Amino acid sequence: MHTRLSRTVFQARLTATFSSHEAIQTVLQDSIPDFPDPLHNWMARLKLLYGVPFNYLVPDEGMLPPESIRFFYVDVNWVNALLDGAYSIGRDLSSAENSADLNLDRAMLSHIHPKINASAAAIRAKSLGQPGTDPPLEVISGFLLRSKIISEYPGLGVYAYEKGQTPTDPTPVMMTILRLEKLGDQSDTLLCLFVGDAFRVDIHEAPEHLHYGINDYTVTNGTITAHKVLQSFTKTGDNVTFNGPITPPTDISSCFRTVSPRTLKISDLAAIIQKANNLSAFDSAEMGFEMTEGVGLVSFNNQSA
Amino acid sequence: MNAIVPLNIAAVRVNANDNSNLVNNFKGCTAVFDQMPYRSGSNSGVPSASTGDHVYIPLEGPSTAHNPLGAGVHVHWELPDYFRRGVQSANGADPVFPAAPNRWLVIRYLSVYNAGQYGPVQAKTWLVESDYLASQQSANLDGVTPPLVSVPVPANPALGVQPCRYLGQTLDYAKWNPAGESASNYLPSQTGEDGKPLYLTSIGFVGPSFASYYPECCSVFGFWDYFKDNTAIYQAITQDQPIQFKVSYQVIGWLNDPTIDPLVNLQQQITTQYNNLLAQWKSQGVTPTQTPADVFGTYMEQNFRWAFHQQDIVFTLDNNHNLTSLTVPEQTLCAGTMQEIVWQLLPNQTNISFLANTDANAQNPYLWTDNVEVAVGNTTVEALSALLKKDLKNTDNDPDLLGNFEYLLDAFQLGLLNGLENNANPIFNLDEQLHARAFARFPGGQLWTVQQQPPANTNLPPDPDREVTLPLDLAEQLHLLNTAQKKYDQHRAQVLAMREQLFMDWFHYIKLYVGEITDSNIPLNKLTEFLFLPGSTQCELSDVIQAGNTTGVLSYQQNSNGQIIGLGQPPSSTTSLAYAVWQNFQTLLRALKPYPSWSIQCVPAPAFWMPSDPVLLVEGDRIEPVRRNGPTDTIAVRLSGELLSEIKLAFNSTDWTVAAANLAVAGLPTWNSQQPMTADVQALVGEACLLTPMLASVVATALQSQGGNNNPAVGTGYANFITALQNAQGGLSPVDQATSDGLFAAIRKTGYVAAANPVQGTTTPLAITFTFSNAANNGWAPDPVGWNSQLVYLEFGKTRFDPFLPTFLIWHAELAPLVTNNAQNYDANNLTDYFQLDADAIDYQYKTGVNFTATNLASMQNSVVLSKKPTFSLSSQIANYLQNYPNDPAKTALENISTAYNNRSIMSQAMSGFNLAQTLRQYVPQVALNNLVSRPGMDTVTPPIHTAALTANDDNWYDFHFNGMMPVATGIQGLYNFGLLRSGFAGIQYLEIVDVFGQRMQLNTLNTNPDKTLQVISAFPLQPEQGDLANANKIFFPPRWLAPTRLWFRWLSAAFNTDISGVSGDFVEMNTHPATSPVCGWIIPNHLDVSLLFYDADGAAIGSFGIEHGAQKYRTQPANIAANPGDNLAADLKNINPNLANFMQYVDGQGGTDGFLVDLMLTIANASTFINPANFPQNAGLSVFIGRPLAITRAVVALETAGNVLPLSQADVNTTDAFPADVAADRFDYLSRQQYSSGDVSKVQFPLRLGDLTQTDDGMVGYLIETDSGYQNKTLYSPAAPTAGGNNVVQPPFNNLLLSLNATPVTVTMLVDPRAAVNATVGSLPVNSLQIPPDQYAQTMQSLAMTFFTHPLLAKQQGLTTPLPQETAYLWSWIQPSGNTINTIPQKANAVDDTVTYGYSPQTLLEGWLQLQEAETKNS
Repeated sequence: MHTRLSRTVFQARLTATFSSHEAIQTVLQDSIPDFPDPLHNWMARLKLLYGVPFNYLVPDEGMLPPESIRFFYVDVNWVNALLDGAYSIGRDLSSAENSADLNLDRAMLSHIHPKINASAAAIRAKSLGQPGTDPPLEVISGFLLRSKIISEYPGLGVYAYEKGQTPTDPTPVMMTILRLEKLGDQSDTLLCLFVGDAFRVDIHEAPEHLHYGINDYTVTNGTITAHKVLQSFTKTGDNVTFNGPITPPTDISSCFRTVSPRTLKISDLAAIIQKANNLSAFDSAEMGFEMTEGVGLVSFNNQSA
Repeated sequence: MNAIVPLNIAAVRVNANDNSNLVNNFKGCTAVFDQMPYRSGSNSGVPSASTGDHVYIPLEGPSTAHNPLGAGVHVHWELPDYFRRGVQSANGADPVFPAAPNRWLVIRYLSVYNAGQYGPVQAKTWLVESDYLASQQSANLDGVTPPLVSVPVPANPALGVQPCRYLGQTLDYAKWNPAGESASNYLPSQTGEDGKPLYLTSIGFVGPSFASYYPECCSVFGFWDYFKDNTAIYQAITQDQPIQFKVSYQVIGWLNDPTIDPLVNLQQQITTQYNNLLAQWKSQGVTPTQTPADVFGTYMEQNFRWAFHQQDIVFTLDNNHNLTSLTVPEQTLCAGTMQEIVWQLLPNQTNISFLANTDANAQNPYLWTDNVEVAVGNTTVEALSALLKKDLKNTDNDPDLLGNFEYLLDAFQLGLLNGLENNANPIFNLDEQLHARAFARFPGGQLWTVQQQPPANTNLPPDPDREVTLPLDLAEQLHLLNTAQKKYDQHRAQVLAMREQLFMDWFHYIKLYVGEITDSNIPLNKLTEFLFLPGSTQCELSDVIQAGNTTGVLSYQQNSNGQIIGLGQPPSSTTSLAYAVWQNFQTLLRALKPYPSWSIQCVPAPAFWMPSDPVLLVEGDRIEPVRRNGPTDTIAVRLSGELLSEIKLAFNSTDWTVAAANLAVAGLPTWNSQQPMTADVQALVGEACLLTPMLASVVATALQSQGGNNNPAVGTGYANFITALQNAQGGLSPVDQATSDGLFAAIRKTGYVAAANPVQGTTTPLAITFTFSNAANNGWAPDPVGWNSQLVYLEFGKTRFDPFLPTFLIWHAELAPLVTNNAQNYDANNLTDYFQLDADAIDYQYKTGVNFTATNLASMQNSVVLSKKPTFSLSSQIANYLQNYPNDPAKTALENISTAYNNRSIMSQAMSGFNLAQTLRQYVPQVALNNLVSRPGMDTVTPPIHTAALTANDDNWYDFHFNGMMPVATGIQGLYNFGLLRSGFAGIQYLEIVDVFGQRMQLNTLNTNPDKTLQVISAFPLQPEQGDLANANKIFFPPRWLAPTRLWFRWLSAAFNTDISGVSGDFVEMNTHPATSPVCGWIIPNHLDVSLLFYDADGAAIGSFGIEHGAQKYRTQPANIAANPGDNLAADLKNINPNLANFMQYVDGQGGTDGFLVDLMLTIANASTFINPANFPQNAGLSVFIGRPLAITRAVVALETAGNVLPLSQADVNTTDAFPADVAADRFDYLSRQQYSSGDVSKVQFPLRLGDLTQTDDGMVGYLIETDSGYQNKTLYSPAAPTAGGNNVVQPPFNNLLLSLNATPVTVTMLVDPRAAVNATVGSLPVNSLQIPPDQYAQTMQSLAMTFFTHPLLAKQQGLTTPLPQETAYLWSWIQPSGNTINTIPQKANAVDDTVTYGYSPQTLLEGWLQLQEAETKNS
């Protein structure tokens, strides 16, 4: 009996198909099946080093002593190898460059990697309730910060800027943060990853920490010396005009309790502020305007860049 | 209440011209038992042979018709399908057919045309007693001697007693007196050669053609109306005088013995079935889903293929659904009519024939011709595809295109079209299916399995896939039982072959003895002693008897479905093979006692295969479908209460009713008081009067007599009313009226949906609405099968009014067969010299340019009954398909095919006997070896053979058709035809069709081939190679064995123990689902390191072969380093499976360089590219995690024929021919005889291909052939091996593994991917495959202890923690070699994440193995 199609021809076709990932892609065209969401979510987390044992990230503790910060780039090749390892379960590993398995993986990976990247970018955005962006993850930089402030100042914030886009530049652009996480509940170590090459990194207190603040406070032999830079303003009807800071700073040394020298006597303070602005009356809004201060912030600039 | 089954009636008119000029050249009956020679005297005269050939006139022969058709009308009724289906018993004996109706009432309604109109109707009634036996043909009361069918009764006539009687008689109904009949004059008073009472069946004593072919059954299922009762007509029709009259015939049949009616005990059956179902529903707590009427409907459909209107089955149930009453039909009546047969011989046309060929230039008036297209294929599907492809002028052979109609149609008809796109191997799948369907299956005996007890009350047949994996002891006992069973089955087959040969030898002997033939090659006395030597065991008869005794007979217990459920009584002889089976069965039964949920079940053993005879498909204008019993298997059957008994009519807004009971037809008889089912018979006659146009006047008269206003039949309206009623009835003769519609045509329209009380309206000459109904207003029209009329057959000419109903096909063919290399015998290279089996094919292909056919052509001819199976409607199948798959890419092509196929007259039939002729045999009527050919004591051979045949009650030779074939020993056929390897090129020389009444039609093709053979369209598989111009128009037959053969491809068990007596080594697994695992061990390849890790069958690691410094090196498994620090292979091989050890030693022996291992690894990698089993996702399991383990298994492969025997040559042309040589050398023993007389076909070597690289569903990676001295050539064969193939890993050449028939099995060790089956391809058989059942490999795979070489790992100061996933039921550990010790450090899963805990420095870098092994469980 004849065969309708030469089997060797069929086999040759099969071999040709698996000979390169391009050939596989040509055959598959648009019919590549969707990689399941849970899987590329998991791979995306791996891309952001979730689950990578810390002792592999910092092989020796001496490289990250207490109260230190270390900046780094993430080695994309290293991460891809990590992903590949995870992806290789059940694969007949081979040192051959062109094995069918490998080509199939290659063909599939070019479809999978963009999805992994998108998922990686979406992890933090999602937790902040923001829409995910899909930035290219070609360069990832970041830092490890080991310090008491991590454990004692929960909610530290980070801004990062690429060169030429810092707040001192005309058009500052904040970098996308991929991961900003304390490594462990009681940990004093913070891992932060950005999309791109960070030039300036600002670390600040938790932004929700708005407070009343004064400008200086010293105690010398039981005598308190304290000043506050007040803002000058005038009210005409419902209009308020700001006139800039009052110089020199107003002395408020008298506003502290004797028995409790770190506690302000608010009414005294209010009187001083009222007086400094020559106001006939003074209300809580005006008090808040004068006293409220922002959070603390430390900037790191890449001197070598 | 009774069942009224439609009966198809056909009739031909034979006038005096026909009678004198044509009918002698028609074909007559083939069985002429009255020609059986016998001697009337007891001690004198010339002896003669009681052989079947005397009583058989082959249709394909040149003889003139025996009992030609007399003048008059010949009526034949086709038995309903139910009566034509036989049931074969479990032990392979001949099929048993149901008793056929043997009393037939024939009513003729006659109306003579006179003075421009038909006169009043006169009825006359006869009774045909089908099973009446007469000792001679004699004139009846009419003074006519009608032809009678002869039958071989008595079966065992005493000396001098006539060995035949005549069957059937026709009585005037008025003279019928059942009470006065003597039972001894009827068939049931007689017994067959096996001593059982005889009864009338559809096959009679002839075969399937008996009831279908009028000349064969004219006095049994037919009626010849010679009109002797009407002198005027008789004279006119016998002398070709002008006359015109018309007749209608009604035939009603029943079984005179109600106890053998098919419906006897039906009520009991339905009640039991319903009660069983009810019990099931109750036990499951579900509401009954079927009523007793539903149960009845299903039962009748399944067992009878009769479809009833279930709503008319009356039953009552109580509140608990218990059956309280049920009325089902009690008896069967077959009924039909053939109406409006007009005999018109006009005064100026008295010289015409009704049946003559009226074609211009017709050469013979008795022989019609038709230009046809003939297609040939292995199956009807193939032939039809080829024909349609040609007709659609489709020449595209590209398999990738949906435009290749042959490919499409094959796929479509095999049910493979849907999903072709998604099918991984569509083309190969199709190839394999087509290839497999070119074989006929022969039972391979029985096979016992141990299965989970099926749930009670289910009638599910045993399913081999439900088999359980057994403890080794049980597996061995099962093996012993199956071995005994196989031995028994094979010996039974051998005994049957020996008996057939004995008969054929006797056949030759008796003809020689009585002088019917002469034979200078064989002295009679030598042959006599060869067959039987009194008092000696040294003769053929003694040998055959001995073989029967040694084998014995098993009695199987069967359930109601015929399924074997166990063994009955122990065989009488305790030394027989049957007894050994019985004994092993008892042993296994006892051994199974501790396992109450398991039971022994019986399934068919692997079948044997023979090539099917090629199928001819013929298409021509004159080929009417032969299917007289309707287009489908199922036929609508009415209940008594559904017969039509009234015509209701509305005329001028007035309603009238005419009841059949009030009709007065002259001549209808007074019903005999012993007439069974009188009411129904009467009702049927009444119905005929309401439906038959020639009886419309009777209805009109009855209506007229009602008088009244608006009575359409009163006064001048009478004649118009008759015409109106006739128009509503329909089915008028085309002689009388050119067109006729009415109810007759309505029920035949495509898409007609039957409904109660059919309505027909007429407008001319009167506007009347007729409703055909009954008193209960539940009347149903008869099925078209049972209501027939005279028609015009335009393709035969405008004046042709008699049917031509193809019944037989006569064919002549010639074959240029495969040459025999060694004179008349084959030799070992007889196949491989001319054919090859390359990786491209699943069948052998001939080497072009090498002539492989013999010079002398084998010539064969036969006649064959045309299939009565419903010819499926391809177009409606296509319509259905497209409805289900509207987006199929093949839609357009299928629609084109459907259009091309519509309204085609296509007929197909296998060329039965084509194969048999090449074994020098021919079917012959089965006549008992009668001891009447000589005076006692003269013929010493016949009596002892006859006696031996009858000796054993349960093993009567006649029950196993031992006398069914005769030898074709001499002449050109004896000279050239014998060849057990069917192959070569064939052509069709002649085709003829014979119709029900013996009419003939020669089939021609438009063009013929240069050798004068018909130009046929060969299906793809039967086409010669492209480019072989010399044979371009021939039919090519690839090599096939003409003996039932199977490939015995079976696993060997991986283990055995000697606790069970009789088992001393690895045993052959008889079942496809091996009772115990065939896996000897496992290999996991590590392509990264180029190493092979070996595991024993239980999953325990042994060690690995890897490459170190350019050489192969064995390393023990990591955890064993301490125990085997020197990596000594021999030390590791202790206590492991010896076959695995052999293989590992073999691998070890390849060391020295890295060549073998590199090649093997490459081979494994190559193979795994192509192995992608379809069911992979279901069987993922642990293998997903650990890669692709390969199993090391062993299997046996062999070719065996049924009974391990081969057909012997019967040739007797020269002294050196097989038969004379056997007799001369006294080779009466079959086995020694076949060494000389089977053409040495068992020496021919056949290439076998193991594995199929192009099938992604094939798991073969490589195999080694085992010999006594290790693996053959120390070579591992793999289709995926590197092409260069050095280093003992090579691609197998096509003739690498050669098998010959019935030789010792070859044992192979195979490396297989357990997820897929291994295909074994030997072109001459369907592709066979073997797979490790998923449950067995999954279990082992799960216990594989995996070690992953891992480096480097960072260990914290506190110790090693590794990021490992949790695997349920598995434990991880780290294996850390340290000097000569080994530390196994348990590792927790999920113990590591990315949180920080300082204090881990300094860390250590480690190398070692991660081990994953199954956690020990309590029941492991």
